[in-house]
Amino acid sequence: MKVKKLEKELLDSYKTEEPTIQELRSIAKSLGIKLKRTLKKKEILKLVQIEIQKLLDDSIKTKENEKEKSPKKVKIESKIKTSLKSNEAKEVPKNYNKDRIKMIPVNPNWVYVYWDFSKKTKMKLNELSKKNKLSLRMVQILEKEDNERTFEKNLSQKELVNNYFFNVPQELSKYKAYLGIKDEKCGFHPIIESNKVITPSSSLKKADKEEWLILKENKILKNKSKGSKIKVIERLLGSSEKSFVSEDKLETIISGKGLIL
Amino acid sequence: MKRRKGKILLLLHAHLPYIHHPDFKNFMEERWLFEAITETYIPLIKTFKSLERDKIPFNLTLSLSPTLMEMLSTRDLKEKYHNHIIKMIELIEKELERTKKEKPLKFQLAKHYKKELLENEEIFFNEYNQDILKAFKEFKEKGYIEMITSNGTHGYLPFYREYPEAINAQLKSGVLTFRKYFEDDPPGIWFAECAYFKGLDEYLNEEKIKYFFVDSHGFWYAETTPKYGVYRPIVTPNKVFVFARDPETSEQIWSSEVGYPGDSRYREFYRDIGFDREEEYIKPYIDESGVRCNTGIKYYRITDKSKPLDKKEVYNLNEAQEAVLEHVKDFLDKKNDQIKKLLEDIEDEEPVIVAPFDAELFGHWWYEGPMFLEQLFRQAVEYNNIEFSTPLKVIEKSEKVQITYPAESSWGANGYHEVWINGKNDWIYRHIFEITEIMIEKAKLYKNPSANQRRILNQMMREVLISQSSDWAFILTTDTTVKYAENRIKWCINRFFDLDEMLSTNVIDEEKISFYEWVDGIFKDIDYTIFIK
Repeated sequence: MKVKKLEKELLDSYKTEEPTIQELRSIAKSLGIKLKRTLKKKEILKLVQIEIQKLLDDSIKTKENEKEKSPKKVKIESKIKTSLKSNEAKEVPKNYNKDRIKMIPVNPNWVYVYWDFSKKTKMKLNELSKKNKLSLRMVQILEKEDNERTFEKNLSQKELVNNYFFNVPQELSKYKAYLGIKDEKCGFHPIIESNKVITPSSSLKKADKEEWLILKENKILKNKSKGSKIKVIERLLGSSEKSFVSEDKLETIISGKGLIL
Repeated sequence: MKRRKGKILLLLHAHLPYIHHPDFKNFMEERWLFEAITETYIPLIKTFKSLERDKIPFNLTLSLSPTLMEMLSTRDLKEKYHNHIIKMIELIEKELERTKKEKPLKFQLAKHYKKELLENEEIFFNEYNQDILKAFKEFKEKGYIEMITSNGTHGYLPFYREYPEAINAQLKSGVLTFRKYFEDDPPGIWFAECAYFKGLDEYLNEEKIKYFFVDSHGFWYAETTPKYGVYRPIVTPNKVFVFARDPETSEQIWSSEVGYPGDSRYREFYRDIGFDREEEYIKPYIDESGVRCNTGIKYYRITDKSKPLDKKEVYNLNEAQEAVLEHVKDFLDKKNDQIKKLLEDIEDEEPVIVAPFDAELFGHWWYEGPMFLEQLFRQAVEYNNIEFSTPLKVIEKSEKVQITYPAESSWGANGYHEVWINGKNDWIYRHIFEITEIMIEKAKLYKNPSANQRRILNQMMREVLISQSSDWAFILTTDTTVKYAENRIKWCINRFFDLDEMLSTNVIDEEKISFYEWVDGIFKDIDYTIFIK
């Protein structure tokens, strides 16, 4: 590698002409040789000759090794010369200028929501009067009762781009989130609507029937269910605990039902 | 009727995220791969060879993540591993000199490590010509191990349920990579982090994958509670078999409190000469920046978990071997009792005990793990009720199977998704989802791309897939190498946008594309059309 760093002309001049002691000292410096002040020209010349011979030998060895390597390998090494580096850190965009709210179920009792607004919407929201509040509304869709339960969190203007962990009341239940404006009469005007999510199950399900696939015949058999024959079921701990959310993002919107498994 | 036995399905899932910095001679995080090769993958091969040589029957399932398969086949990483192991041998030579003057047990250990390193070098370079996958393929073909795949870059699939194209891309890249290296279809799959949601099984039919795994509560809280709990597979209405982890077996080995690896006689992972030796001495063998790291040379035993590292006692290999024998006997006795009980509960079929583990537990985290595995198979021949088997063999022997959907679950702490989405890592998803969405749009838009456009689209695909790896979120949660995980996400996002800009403006920066192809060069033979469902 040192050979590459040396100026070719300098080496060439050394080979063809008798260098001065200053030139020799300069060459030695380029080669990384530490010289004592007391050294004579001949002694420096000898040290330089030894070092150059070493470098030339190394250079020949490197070339021989390169010959052995596949062309692909050589091609890859040539790319090291690029100005780019694989560990260069650059920040990611702060937002994507879109009106969007997305929801992800975290566990039976928590969902995660993040949102973003387009510039246009942000400008409109900034113009809101103090009486109108930006609000995140979570809706539990109760299919059987043909009804909806809603939970809300008021957001400050700082939260125009943000996210939130919502504590929700029920496992295996459907939820949807909205971001909207709550007016002075507490009327909610949705702006954006999230995807629907279903929280995971965390309880045993009773069933009247069991279905079995008879493999050889590829037939389905339906039996009356007597439940599981295996009694040992361990309790899964912690899925309703709050420790996974940093304090600033945590707020229990509802309490009671569903908090304890 | 033929005598029924209990089947133990041991599954080792080997995975590391795609980390490749070919523009650096040494890169700290690339050492994860080197450590895993030395401490787990080669010791596993040695275990298989030893069992085969002595004609001991053994069966297990080995899942290799596609990121790992790709890294194990990368020339640059293989060469770096070569340098790494040479350096380690150099270090152990020095240690032999040093430990002569220290305690005799340490000197013995140094000799033991030297022997191990030389054997590793022999296996890796001479026997398998730097191709670890070839070794696993051999044992697969001989019928000892059932090999399966995992999803492409180990993306946490429940988070992508809104993006079927992304799930499809994760699965397709997993299957295609497996086919590339094993010239076969994967019979089963290990979903990253064992994470499942209802509907994921539908994707498997297209890939002809017959089975996957879930954690215990995936069965406990299934749509219909399985009659035999986790001790028989179920089948989903989409006709994919599912196996569930046995909590009892997991606890015996995984548990940090009562698990075998915590025994006081076993080697202490966190006391390593990379941190113990003086700076000048150890400098050539740790990271170039001078940041200390593990070398794999460790002289101390756990002693007592409550003791600080500097109070640990010297490791005694003979005592550790005794502990292994004891633990294997204890494990098999417990399995025997468990199976006896299960045989009473399960009338017609054979009980199945599913024991999945991270492969790296064996050898890397738990030094004696490979020895435990070897002894497990050796001692198991004495137990009439116990047979080690594989999922395919269980499926083939089954006469009937209960139909139901497992519950959404993962094998992370608390059983759901909170390890991969919480206050420490939530910020990453808006970016990953954004580029995932753009990728899907662009894949559909560019039906007949030019050569350059195809190249860009392919690289965009790689950046999206790498960003989706569950590892980055995991690292952010566990507070280890956080900066690297953050940067890894940022590199992918920024590289993706650079490429997207080129695609949109048609202003091509050839050097940049080549560079990205070089550093994030996973799945070279797969193209972006996997993002079109």
